Amino acid sequence: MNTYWPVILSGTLVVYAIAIRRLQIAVQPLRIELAEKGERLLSSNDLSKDAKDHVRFLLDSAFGLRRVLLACLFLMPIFAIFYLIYHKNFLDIDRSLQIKDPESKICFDRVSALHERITLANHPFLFTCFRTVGSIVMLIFTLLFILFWGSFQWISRGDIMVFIEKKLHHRRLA
Amino acid sequence: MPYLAIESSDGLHIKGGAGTEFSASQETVASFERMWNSTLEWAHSNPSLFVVSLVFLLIVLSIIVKGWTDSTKLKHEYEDARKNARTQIPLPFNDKDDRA
Repeated sequence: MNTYWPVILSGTLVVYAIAIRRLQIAVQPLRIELAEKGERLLSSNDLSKDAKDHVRFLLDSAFGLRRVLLACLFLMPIFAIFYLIYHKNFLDIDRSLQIKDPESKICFDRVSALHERITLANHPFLFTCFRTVGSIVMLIFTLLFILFWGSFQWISRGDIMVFIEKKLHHRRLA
Repeated sequence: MPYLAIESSDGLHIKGGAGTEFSASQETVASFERMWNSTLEWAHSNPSLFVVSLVFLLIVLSIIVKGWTDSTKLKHEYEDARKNARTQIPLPFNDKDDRA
């Protein structure tokens, strides 16, 4: 077995490289749809400034989100503790992204779903780690939230991502 | 590019021409030498497998280079789609009065 490991390793690398390349090409129609729907949403009057910033961020990160995903992965427990103490900040984020017009809401949800699929294609392993770790951390902290505050508030991975993205965006502007 | 390599009791020190320096401890140098020697030994005893591995690595390298050029093309296509989408929206689509 030891004799063959360099061949197995290099062969695995070939398969992985081909798979990633095909994935990048296969996901391109979704990116085009994201571009069309996202730009359409940006021209809408129904979206708040925060929601438009979020759509702009989704459009700008169609080819990579490594920094935000890594930040989310390592900072998620810290933000979950932050959420336990200052949960109103997160509820404000959730409120700022709410859209009243049903047509725009459907379009916004579709853009978010498209971006999630594109991110999965861009970073298959990192995004899977993010989803798994995120779900576990959020489940633990939702249970802790019930113990501390006695009310059920489900905080999603997306909320944490939006929060970190907003922090990074504000830092970029500063 | 000129460089100066000094091997002393506390390890290996390499000084580059542009003022760059690299130092490695004796243990690091020894483990690197062991790894290199065992790779050479493996290549000598299995020449056909070595060639196959080398070919695989070259394929990976070519896929990376091709992927990089493809990615640039895909990015341009995406930016064009964004620009087109922007220009094809004369009025806010949710403005019901204007749409009617």
